[in-house]
Amino acid sequence: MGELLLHAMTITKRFGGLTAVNAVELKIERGMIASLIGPNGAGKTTFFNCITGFYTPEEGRIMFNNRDIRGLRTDQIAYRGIARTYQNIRLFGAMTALENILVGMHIHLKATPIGSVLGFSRTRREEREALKEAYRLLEFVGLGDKGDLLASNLAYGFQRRLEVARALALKPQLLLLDEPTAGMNPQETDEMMEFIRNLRDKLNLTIFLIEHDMKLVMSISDQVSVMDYGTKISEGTPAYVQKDPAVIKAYLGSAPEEVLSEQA
Amino acid sequence: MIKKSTFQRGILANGIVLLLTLTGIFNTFAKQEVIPEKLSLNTVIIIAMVGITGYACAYPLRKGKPLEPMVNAIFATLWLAVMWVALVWLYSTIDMRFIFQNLTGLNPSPLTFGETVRFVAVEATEIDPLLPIEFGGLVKLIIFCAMMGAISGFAVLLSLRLQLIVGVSAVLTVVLSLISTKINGIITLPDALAFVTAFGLAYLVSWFLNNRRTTPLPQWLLMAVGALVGAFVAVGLLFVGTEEAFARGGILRGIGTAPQIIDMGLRGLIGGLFGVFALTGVAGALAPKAERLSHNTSLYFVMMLIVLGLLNTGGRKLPLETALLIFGVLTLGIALIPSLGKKAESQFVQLARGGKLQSRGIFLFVLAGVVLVAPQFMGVSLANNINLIILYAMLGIGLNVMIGYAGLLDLGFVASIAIGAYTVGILTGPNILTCNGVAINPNLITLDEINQLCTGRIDFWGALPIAVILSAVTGMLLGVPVLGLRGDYLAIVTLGFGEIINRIIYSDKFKPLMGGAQGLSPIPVPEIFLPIGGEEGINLVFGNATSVFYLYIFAILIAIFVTYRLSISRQGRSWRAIRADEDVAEAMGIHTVRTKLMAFMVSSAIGGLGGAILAAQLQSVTPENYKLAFSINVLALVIIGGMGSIPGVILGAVVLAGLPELLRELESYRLLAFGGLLVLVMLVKSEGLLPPAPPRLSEQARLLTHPEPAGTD
Amino acid sequence: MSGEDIQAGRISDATESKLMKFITENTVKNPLRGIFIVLFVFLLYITLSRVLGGEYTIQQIVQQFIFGLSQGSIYALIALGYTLVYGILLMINFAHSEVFMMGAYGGFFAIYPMAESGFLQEHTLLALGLVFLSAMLTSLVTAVLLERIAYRPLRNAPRLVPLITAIGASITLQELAKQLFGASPRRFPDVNYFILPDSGIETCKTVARERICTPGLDLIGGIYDVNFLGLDLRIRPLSFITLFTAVILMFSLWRFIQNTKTGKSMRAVAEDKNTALLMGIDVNRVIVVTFALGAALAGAGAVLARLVPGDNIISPYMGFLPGIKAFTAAVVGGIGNVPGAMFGGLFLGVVEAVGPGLLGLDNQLQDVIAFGLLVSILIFRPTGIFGEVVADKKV
Repeated sequence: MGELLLHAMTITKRFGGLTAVNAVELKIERGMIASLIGPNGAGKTTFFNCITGFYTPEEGRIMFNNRDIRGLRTDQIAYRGIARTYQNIRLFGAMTALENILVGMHIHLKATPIGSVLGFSRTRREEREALKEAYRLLEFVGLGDKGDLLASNLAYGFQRRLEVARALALKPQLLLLDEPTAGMNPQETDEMMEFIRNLRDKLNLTIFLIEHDMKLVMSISDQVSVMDYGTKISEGTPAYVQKDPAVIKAYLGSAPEEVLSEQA
Repeated sequence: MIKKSTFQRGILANGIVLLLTLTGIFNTFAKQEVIPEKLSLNTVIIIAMVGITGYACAYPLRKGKPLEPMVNAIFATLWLAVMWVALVWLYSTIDMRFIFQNLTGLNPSPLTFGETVRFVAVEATEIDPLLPIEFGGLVKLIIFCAMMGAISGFAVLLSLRLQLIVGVSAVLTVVLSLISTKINGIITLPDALAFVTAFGLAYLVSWFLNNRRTTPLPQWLLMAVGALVGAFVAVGLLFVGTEEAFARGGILRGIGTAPQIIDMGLRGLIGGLFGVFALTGVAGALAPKAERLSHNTSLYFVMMLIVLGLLNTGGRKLPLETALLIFGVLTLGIALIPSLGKKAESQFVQLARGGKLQSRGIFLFVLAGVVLVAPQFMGVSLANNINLIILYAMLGIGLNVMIGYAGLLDLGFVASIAIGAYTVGILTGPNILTCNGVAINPNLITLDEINQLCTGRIDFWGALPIAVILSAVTGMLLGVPVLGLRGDYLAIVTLGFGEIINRIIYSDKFKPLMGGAQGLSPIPVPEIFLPIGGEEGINLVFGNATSVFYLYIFAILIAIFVTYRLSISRQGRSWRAIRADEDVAEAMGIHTVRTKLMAFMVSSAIGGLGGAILAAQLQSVTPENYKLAFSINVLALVIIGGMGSIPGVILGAVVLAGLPELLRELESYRLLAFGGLLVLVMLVKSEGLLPPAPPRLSEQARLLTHPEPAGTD
Repeated sequence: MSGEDIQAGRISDATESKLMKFITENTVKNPLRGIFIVLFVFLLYITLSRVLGGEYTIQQIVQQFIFGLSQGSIYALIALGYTLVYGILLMINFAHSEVFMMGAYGGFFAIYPMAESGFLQEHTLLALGLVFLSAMLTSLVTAVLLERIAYRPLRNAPRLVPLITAIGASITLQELAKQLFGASPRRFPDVNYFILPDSGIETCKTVARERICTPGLDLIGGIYDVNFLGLDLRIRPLSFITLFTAVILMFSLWRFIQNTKTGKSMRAVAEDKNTALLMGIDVNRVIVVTFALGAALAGAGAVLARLVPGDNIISPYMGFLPGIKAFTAAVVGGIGNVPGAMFGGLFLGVVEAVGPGLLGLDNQLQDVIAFGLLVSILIFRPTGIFGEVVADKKV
């Protein structure tokens, strides 16, 4: 740890008169599990979208591996090693689970259209390797027997896992998870927490997640950042953030303290 | 008792039927007969209209109380009858032709069962004009509608499979009867039966042998048995057939015209006869253990042979008995073949790799043989129609890359076709470019003069690649400005682009180069010179429909090969990902603009290829041929057949391009039907008739990942 | 270094990079923009040389400008239909051009019997009112049925589906009109409406080589030589009437949207369908009203367009070109934007009228101009001149 992976420098994103993200400064070190929390509409997802290039922030820089990625297209940023999942699952519904992962492996394949049409042995070999790896990933997330099902026909929990597997197929350095446990029951949430920990420990990933489930956030995060009304109001270890009056105020108005820590 | 859904659907169905009646549909098809003197096309149309109305109203109630669907269907069809009666009454009291110009001959018409309905007595004016005087036909109409309502209300209760089998067979029978004069010369009944016997006997023997043994027979043994059965049939034919008997049209019933294949044996081409039948036998013997596609295709082919043979017996007229026989054959075939195919597939998967390849190879060989000799049986007129179907299928496959794979709605596909055709036209035809700067007026110049003057022309094979590349590049250039935008814009910009290209080729400004409204002609016929066989070699000339057929087959094979390979590759996955969700695809690292441009390029290239061959076949290019309607035709067959599915597109081409082509009378209703079908398909089954099957990669992937068989548990 | 220096350096840095950015933006990143800029400069050169060289006079420009305004106001009326529906459903109603066509037929079936029976000649204004009513009603019924049957069941389908449906509906309506009303084109009868019979103005026309003159000013059928500010112009009063009527209709629409309850609901639905639903707005009704309004305007436009003597043919395919041009107009003004559509229509009409003369194109290629405009707008400013956001990925 210690090496800086992502450094968002005073990012500002406006929509018309509304400033959705206001001069947010954020650092994530390699190997961390970092969380971003905040009330609804605080600008968390917009901030994610800024990092992945879906939006281009008006001000600030986004340093990733010490290179500025602000203004790059989404696909270029994916090449640099940032993958994400979505709050409301966005799989390619009309494609099978296996194909979804194969799409995720896009940037690591070199097949050209001509090669595919003429069936070069190099292309065929690569396709076999890809298939193999995709299947491994599918097994890794526990969907080994569901490879031929259309993504839209999978159960909700499986869809979440498939989405993570698809993001993993990019072999990213930084994985962004947007509310990975949304709509899950406590048991599923615990499994997901274990799963995220595993990702970091086994695959050496750096993970940055948006989450509403405080228990999960407080127990797995190395660093928690809190946003409210587009600005970052607090940052630090879970223990620190839980006690920060600014955070408590944001969540509960000016209500009694230590509600957050009780929750955790 | 009468449900709300019945009212909704009834209003819609009745509205559509009334509109169609007002278009004068019964006048347009008055001369068409399905079965001479027994069943006219108009009657079929009425049956379909009433039946579909009743069916549509009964369908939502099929799981309710037993009598409910029937009551609702009768309600809807009676309502329709009342509307028709009102229309006939209106028609005979006021002149509606000021508005509805095509509405003629409604009284008498099939609606009145051919009887004249009169509402006003001719001589006595004091009779109330609102009271009908002769109305027997209308009473029949009402009774008929009620009956059809009852039948359709009953039909919804049957199993879906049965409905489908009977429905498809009935429609096919009607269609075959309508086009029987076009296709009844293909094969005689004795010929057909001879083939069916060879194939069927081998099939049965092989099936019997397979079922009798626990260990499967080796492939070569089956093939040998098949060949033996085939040869046996051939010997039998020679044995029973004397020259005289065959000359008069076959020994089996002494009907039809001269058999073509059996004739070979009598002309001393005994080797050929034996070869053909032995191969038929081999195919028959392998079929019970073949891949589903090969199995079903060959069995459907055999079924079609019987039907064609049956059609051949009737000459110009098709008797009712034959029609019923054809209906029976079709029903049986459609009912049995798919389940047999499933069994065959289950046997096929147990074969070793070599056996699979062998089986596939033999069926491919047979298919190639059939395709190779097919034009000899078709005759020029039918070959023309079939060429058009292949052209449309191929263009559909090209457009499918845009719409089906990448989800980009291209309404200007005709532009690519026109560019392909005009490139060939300009490079190989007479114009200012090829004729050393002399402007040509095709009306004032002879062929010899053209040959003398126009020395700048290149041959078709030189122009073809240029045409393909040029269409691909233009397609791509068009894509650049609009690809960043929403799909709707693409649709309208491509629409405009198609129109602009048409304007340009029409324009007088470019007349010396592109011939203006007259177009360019003559475009030379493609030829291939093969330096084999003697001193002169062989010169293959693609000058008429039966030889251009091979060009089209070649082109569509290329189109299928390229698009299929692309669709299962990284490129195809990117296309489908973009179609499903562009933002997410981009987040996966897919360069969306480049990927879309690739779709534009492939699609336009295939369009250009089609256009180039079309120009060579017509031996001319005229702007009249390359209008918006062309795009719409291709679009319709892709969408109705099934976006993203190559078999779907081919089915779409056969139905949507083939039918109107074979049945010229449908021509005026062609686009109306296409438009209506587009809406209907989107509302009812937006993935089309034959939607693409998702690729099954899991098994292969599992085997790759865990090489040893995992089936130990 | 002082703080000021740094600031100054930054500013010059910024301007330099702005210029560089502009250049790279328009060449390397978007080569097509570069090509189009060169093309525009070239066209400008042709225009200037033609005007300065006297091949094209101010007189012609003014005359064609007026013609363009009336043509453009019809485009604007149709464009409003596209824009209104787009604003609410985010879909291009391809069948709108056929709604326009049906309006023309509706008007024709009203005006023709009236012209035959002499009613039109006797009570011209009343008859015209009835014709407009018939045309607008026909369009309206067509559009509402279209929405109910083809579009409403597909409101939550993937985007390609309603688009294809709209195209299918467009073809169906075209072909249905052809089969119902016949493929042969029909002509609107000539309409004359004389005013100021005592003013000394005479309206003359040549019938069978004989010049017949009637006293008074023919507002609809007439064409007059006018000397205006020293320019000899040939002008139809109808051009001004068309423009005037269109502007009144558009202004009423604007007032309707801004001030009435239904209009406010329309804006609410356009903003956010789900929230509007929560606020108790009947979204289906609002959508029907939107289709109806757009259709009525198109129907009125159809009659206005076909009153012009000599340009009075109606046929099943008459909707296609005006439709595509009106769509262009809607895009020029920023699709989804009501005043934008009005402006876009007028702008396109004028460009199309003046353009061929300025550029020296023959009339066969006149329609290419609208298309060129559409493509260049899409390349440079896809949001249109008044910029409703269309390229937003979120939509």
